[in-house]
Amino acid sequence: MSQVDIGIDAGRLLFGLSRIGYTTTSAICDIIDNSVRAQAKNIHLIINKERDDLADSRRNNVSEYVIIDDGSGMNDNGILEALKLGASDAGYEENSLSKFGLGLKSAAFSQADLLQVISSDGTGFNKYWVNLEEVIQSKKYFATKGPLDESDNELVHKYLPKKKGTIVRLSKIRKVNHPSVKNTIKELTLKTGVIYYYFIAENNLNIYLTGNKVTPIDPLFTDEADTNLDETVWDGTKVKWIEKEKSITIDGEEGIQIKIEATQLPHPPTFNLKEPGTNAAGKIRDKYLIGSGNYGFYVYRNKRLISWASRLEGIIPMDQDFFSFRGRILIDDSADDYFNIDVKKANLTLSDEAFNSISDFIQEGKAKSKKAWLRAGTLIKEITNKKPNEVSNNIVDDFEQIDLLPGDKLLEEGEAKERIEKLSTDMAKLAKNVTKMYKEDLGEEVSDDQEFTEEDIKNAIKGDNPSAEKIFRVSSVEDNNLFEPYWDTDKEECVRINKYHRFSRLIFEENGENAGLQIIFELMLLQFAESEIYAYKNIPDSNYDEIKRILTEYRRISSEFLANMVRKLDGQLPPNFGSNETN
Amino acid sequence: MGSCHLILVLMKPIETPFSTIFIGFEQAYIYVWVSLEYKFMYVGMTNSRVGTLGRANQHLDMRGTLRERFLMEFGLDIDTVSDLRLYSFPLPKSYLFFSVESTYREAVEYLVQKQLLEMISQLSVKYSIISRVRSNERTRNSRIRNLANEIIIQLIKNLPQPNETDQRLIGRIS
Repeated sequence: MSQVDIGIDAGRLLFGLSRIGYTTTSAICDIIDNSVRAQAKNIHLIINKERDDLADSRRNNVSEYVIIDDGSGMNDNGILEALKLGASDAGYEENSLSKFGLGLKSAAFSQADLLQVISSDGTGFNKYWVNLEEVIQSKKYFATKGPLDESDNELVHKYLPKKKGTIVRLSKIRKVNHPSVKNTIKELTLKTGVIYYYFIAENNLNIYLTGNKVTPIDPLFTDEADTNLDETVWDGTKVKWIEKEKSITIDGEEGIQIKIEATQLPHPPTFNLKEPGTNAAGKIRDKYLIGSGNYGFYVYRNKRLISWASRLEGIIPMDQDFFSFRGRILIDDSADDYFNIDVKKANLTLSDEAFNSISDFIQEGKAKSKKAWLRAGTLIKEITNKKPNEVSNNIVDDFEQIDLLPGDKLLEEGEAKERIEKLSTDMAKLAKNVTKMYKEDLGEEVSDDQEFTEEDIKNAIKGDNPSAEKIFRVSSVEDNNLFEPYWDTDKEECVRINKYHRFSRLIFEENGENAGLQIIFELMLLQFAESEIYAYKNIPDSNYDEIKRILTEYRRISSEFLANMVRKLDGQLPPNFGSNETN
Repeated sequence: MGSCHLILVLMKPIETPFSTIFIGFEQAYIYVWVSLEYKFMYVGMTNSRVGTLGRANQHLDMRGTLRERFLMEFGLDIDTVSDLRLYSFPLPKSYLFFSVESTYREAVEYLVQKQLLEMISQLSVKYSIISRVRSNERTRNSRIRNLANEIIIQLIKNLPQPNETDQRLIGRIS
């Protein structure tokens, strides 16, 4: 056996590496990573323009990016090691930000044709550069050593008075679709504030972009989150906790843990309603970075952001109802195999274990966030439009059903009274039972023999809408049925509709935009409930208990059949029916 | 004809107490599959007429979800597991829990899995949870939460190789 050196074309390799998809911002952030790794306390970005007289908003006018840090710096060998392709990670400290040893070169050559590194570990400054054009021509990867020029010495004098630190110069910037100084600074101010949030907020890191100090930005705005999100009462104006920070295990065998937390940010349209004509919604969107590119999970590896607003492969769906959802995952390098990170540290894919654990853990929070967002939207609609339940209640407000159907006979007075008494007794029992269930739904502890106030019972019977008089959307119905009749001498025949039954959810949630359908559904169930009470009061040939047993069973069976139908025909029912048809 | 001599080798029988887990009439269950050998747990719920025993049959069928989930997680056939245990937790005998409309028992199942995910790092054995569950609005119901807590407590108490760490953990569940 013999080994044959087949060589590499260093020029083509370097060219390829520079085209892996860096943006200007992500390239500069990757170089800042090296400064952070070198334990710098002050990092400066200087942008030199091609023509100083042109405005910062002009594209293709950058001549050079200069990143200066007062970190530990490098000696001669250190600079050469940093410029090597696949730089060694032997000297990397634990919790290092680096991963592949390719960041500096690939980031630099994604923007520029000339990379210069000037550095000192305290023993004097050395300068090396790599010129992409020269490497492509010679097909050899090499660096050139040279003396510091006047401009280098000015930078050392101004920013590195302790004669220690590093200057990285990206020169010969490519002029094809290169962003303006203004846009780069705007984006970098936001991105570095979020990416290095922990370093700036906790480690006293200072980053200056063309002289302006970057302020740390917590994308979850946890400082403002006072209490946990209650999606049933949230009005859309405050930041709330969805999940406070918790450690979860993504691989029990290997003992791999991650930290996870999530908040609900305000609902911008709500502010327009509060302050009409002031573009309040726009201001809230800007303040909380609410938009299509910013919802999801912010994943920090060793406290450096590696994934901005990731939907984690669909754990957070692409759906604007999640615009207020902000999650954060903190990992260290032990979790790298579960959060596979690319060279740019910009994209990650999850292992099955990580996907499943996070997906399961956050499911409840995700549902809460969506419900809260929808509720905030509904609150707006409630103010601007009458909601369907109010409309259906209004429709039946003055409507009276037939007292006695043609062909039916009035019961004898004695029997009629006896049936009313039985009905009253049953309804009193029902009221007590559903009040217990209602309070449990609110998360309260309730004992079996607990006494309830009139107010408790009224709230439980009516559920969501206290002004409703006949048709009530409620969270719990006996036996988890679709609906149940309710009757008292004051309100007479009413219906309680289980809003969490699968069939109700099909109507109220999946067809939520169809107000007409909701109104008709509610009116129909009211008539079913009225029919049942009519039967208790008027059917002459069977006794009350027998009628009750059969009708209760019928209601249970039909509720179960409807639930089963919705479950089995998932995706085929309106509003999605026909969506799977092919032409 | 010559006589045929059969040599019977008597193996030690495998005794498996079924108790009442085949009874699913008016009875739903939360169940947890556990293997100490592979350190995994699988949480499920059923209203099967034949209880968790009947559901177990489906899980271990060639296309069963437990078999498929195990294969996905470990790359092995479930037949390689030699210490599979099934913990069954009967839910209250009420339509709320055993009806086709499954939101109540789904909510218990979700909370059990979510709490396990949170607590697993504190258990003496670091299990992986390989089941998938769905949340719904009923997870905030106090009765559902209490049921899930009780199931977690009983599960931890009865896991193989419990130790003092696990016992202390039980005290912190509220």
